[in-house]
Amino acid sequence: MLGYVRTDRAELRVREDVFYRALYCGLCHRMGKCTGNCSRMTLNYDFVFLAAVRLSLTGEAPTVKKQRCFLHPFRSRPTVQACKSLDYCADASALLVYHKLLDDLHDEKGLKKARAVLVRPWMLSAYRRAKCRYPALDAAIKEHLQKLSQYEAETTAFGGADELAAQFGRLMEAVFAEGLEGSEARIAAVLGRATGHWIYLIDAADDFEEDRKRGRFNPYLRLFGTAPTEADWENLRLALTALLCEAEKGFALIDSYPVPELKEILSNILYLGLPATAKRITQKNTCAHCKKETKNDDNTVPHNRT
Amino acid sequence: MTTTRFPTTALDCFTAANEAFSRGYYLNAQALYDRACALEPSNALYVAGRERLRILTFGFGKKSGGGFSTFDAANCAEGCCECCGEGCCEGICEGICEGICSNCDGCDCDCG
Repeated sequence: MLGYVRTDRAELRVREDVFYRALYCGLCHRMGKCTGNCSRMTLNYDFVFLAAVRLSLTGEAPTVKKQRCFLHPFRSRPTVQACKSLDYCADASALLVYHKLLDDLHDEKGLKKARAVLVRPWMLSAYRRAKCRYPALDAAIKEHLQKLSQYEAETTAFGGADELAAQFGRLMEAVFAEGLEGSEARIAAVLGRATGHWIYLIDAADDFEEDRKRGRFNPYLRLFGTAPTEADWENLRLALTALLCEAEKGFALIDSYPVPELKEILSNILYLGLPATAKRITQKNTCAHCKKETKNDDNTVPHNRT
Repeated sequence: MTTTRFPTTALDCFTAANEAFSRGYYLNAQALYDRACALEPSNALYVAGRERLRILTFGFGKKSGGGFSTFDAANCAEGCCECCGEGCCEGICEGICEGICSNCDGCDCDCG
């Protein structure tokens, strides 16, 4: 579910790309310090986005220094140094990952469940450390994920996809806004809610074919049926763009940044990275649909994919 | 596998779509607008509703000055009246926006 919120790296300037990598490395280092080295295996780009948003809103000026790590022992790399925003992201990541593991233990079967059983003991220590620092956030994540599981079991009508995604959006709203106040909290809430909603929809689209084959839950199976058309995926693209319009409102309200690279990175993610991810995943599903049509009907002209 | 269950009449679909749209449930809204248009293809109001999402996303990414990117176009069925600031509604606004667009006092556009 995580890892979709990325930059379009080709469109970043070199100094912005260097800063983005420094943020990634900095978050990895802070995860090692705050929640233990095992939690570093769960590092993903979504939390780098969260770190960029938190740094922008709190106005903390990040310092960058070159550092080595166990993966890069010979060549030191620019790394954002310790700050409150990175520490918070490390703790939030540990909490979310642990609760996701619990969810997988409860809901999944086969390899995913086995993986959750194996990984859970390694993440327990990270979870306990993070929970000590943010007990309210832990309770909020637990509550939202329980509601999400409940909705997935109950929702039968067409309304399933957006209602579920909105519930995940509320979870991310809590994660983004935790510890902030006033206008910072409101802006973070808008960004978190829209991003969470978007992530849920895109993750469901990415998993659609596999879920359909294995008979697993997927909200689009209820909304579109087992054979969605190209028009259905086009509707999804429009809905995803509309959610980015919602996120854009929050982004437009951030009036100053501690470093200019943060603004460019967030802008790149919002206007280039996320739309590119949405296009890739919806086109993948559209192409899967087209392959099925041309395979089944030899007499028709091959479907013209634009 | 269970199939989608929509409201049975076009008006119910359209009403549910408007409600979903105002809540930010864009995917549900679009599916409902499509269903309303499928049930009553000649109804211009339903066709206008189906285009709402396309119009909302039309200005995504444009800098302020175009006026669209930070304006909540959820209440406006088309993009040509002054409150939206730009673009042409491509002929769908004739008399329609007075029924849907609650942010403006009617449409003075010349299109269509």
